[in-house]
Amino acid sequence: MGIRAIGANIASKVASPFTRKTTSTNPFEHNSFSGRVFKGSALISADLFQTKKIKEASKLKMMSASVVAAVSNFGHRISQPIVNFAKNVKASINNTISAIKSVPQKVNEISKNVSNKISESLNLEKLHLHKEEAKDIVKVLNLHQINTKASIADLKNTWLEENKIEAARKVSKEVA
Amino acid sequence: MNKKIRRIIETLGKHEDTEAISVLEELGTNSQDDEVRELTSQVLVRKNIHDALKVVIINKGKGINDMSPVVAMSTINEILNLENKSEAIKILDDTINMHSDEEVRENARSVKSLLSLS
Repeated sequence: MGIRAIGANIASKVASPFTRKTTSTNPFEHNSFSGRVFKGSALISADLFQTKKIKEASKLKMMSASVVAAVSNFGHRISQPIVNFAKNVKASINNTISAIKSVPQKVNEISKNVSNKISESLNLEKLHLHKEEAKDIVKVLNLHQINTKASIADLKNTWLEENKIEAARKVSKEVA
Repeated sequence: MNKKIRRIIETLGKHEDTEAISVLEELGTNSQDDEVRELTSQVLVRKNIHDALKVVIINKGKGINDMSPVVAMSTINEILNLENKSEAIKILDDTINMHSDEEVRENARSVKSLLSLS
């Protein structure tokens, strides 16, 4: 075995640090993960050695990302009024609940008002009855009070009273 | 007659309330005093409305049918003095044609004859 042969063997055994087996920049290319080799690119956009097709794909992905962002923004814009509407509904429900809670108080107030009105009307009825009783009392008019402004009832009562007085006078005359 | 009662009767005769007629009929024409009945009948005739004239024409013992000739003649005289006698004639005609009492019908006939002569 010659020196060259030895050298060849050594060269085959010791890998030269300057030799490059592949042009891939993937640092995990030679690493084995349980028999699977990762052949993808970790940083596609940062890879200076990628082809135009890859760059175009990345552009498309960026565009799609921007579209997705726009769509999501659009969705956010749409969702805001819905959120506001929901807030309004919630507020109105709260108001309704508070109104329902205050219903018994209002009912009490209404019942108090009704009872007050009834008592007032009863008092008015009492006053009315007093007036009627006052009407029933015989009102004898003076000679100056006897005119067309006087009520028929008063004139009638005065006439009846005068008849009684006249009858009493006749009786007293007969007795005398 | 009491001055006060005279005043009341005259006031009721001028009163616009139709209730006055019923008071005059109730207390005036049923009074025992001839003067009261006479004045009441005169007041009712002066009103010259159907309800008032009816009291002194169609009721037996009242107005022209009064038992007192003074009251009856005074009432007839008051009817004769009315300017508008149409309502009185209408009631007299109805009394002559429809009243159940012959004496009342006869009195009404006599008053109507006097009215036609006047």
